[in-house]
Amino acid sequence: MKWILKNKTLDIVIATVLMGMIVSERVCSQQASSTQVVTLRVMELNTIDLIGGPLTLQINSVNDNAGQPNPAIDASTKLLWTSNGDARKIAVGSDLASPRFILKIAAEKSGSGTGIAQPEVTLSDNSPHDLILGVQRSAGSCSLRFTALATSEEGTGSESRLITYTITGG
Amino acid sequence: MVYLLVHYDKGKIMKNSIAISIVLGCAFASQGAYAQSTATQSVNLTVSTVYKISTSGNPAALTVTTGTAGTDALTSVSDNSTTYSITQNFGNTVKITANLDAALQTGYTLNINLASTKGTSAGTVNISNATSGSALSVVTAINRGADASQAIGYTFSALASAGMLTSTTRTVTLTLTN
Repeated sequence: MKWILKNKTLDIVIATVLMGMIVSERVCSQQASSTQVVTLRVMELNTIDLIGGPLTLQINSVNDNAGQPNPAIDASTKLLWTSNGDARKIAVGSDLASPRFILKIAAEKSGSGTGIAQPEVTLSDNSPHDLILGVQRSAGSCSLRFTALATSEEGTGSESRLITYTITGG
Repeated sequence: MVYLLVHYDKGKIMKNSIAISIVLGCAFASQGAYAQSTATQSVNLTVSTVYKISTSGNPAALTVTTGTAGTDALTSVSDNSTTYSITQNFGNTVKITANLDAALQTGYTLNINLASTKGTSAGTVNISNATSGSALSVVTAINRGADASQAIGYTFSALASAGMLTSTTRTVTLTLTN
């Protein structure tokens, strides 16, 4: 009889402990969370591009009154750029150190974005020339006007130039 | 020579036999009563609400490096390398919410997408401005049960006009709740 009573007491203790565990579990499990750490970064980015293919500027007319050949003009090329830096500039340069004929270029701001177009540039050597200054964090665009000039004294002929546009720190 | 005469009474012997039998029967009967006894115990079972969510680690760093000339929106980057697992027995109204420990600056966007086979995924959710007080639902109507190793997708994008961003961390909290 004593052994039976002791066994019943142990059973009651075990049941009580289990009930306690079930109650505490209910209090803690109303919601659960888990976390992740995400690392974000944006690198410096400057990108430039052209819309428009190779150009041919042909001087083939003359103004009788002026006596000099009329310039050849083309404004079909569009320049695009995107930069996430501050105080950037766009420079233009030719590969000819000593060109025979005159070629001028100017940025005509027709699109969006920041930047100040500089006065028309004469590509008389192969050094870079400022085309647009003060480009801030933005995406922008403009038209490019090419003007080719020749004097009668220079005679006839042709020459090719590779024009390079560069966006850099200002 | 002594002869012992034994005189017995047949009737008395019968009575004694019956008496002995009765006594023996009672003895057997009482022995049967002590061999069998039972005890009962009332046991109450309770299954409480259980929520459990875990993730498989941190995603790889999200770094924007390229863009298109003339376009302010730079090329976005993604990571789909991590997963989450859940277990819940509450009901069919359980959901998962997501929030950051701090909002992102204007011009930067962090999207999250959680797959789910137990609930309805909200698809790609912009959590750039979701802080702890404004967590957004990313999975809803989750049925009771377990959903293991479901994909977590992150997409980070930036505008050129927002500028550069040095390496920055955000803690994303996924909460399983009802």
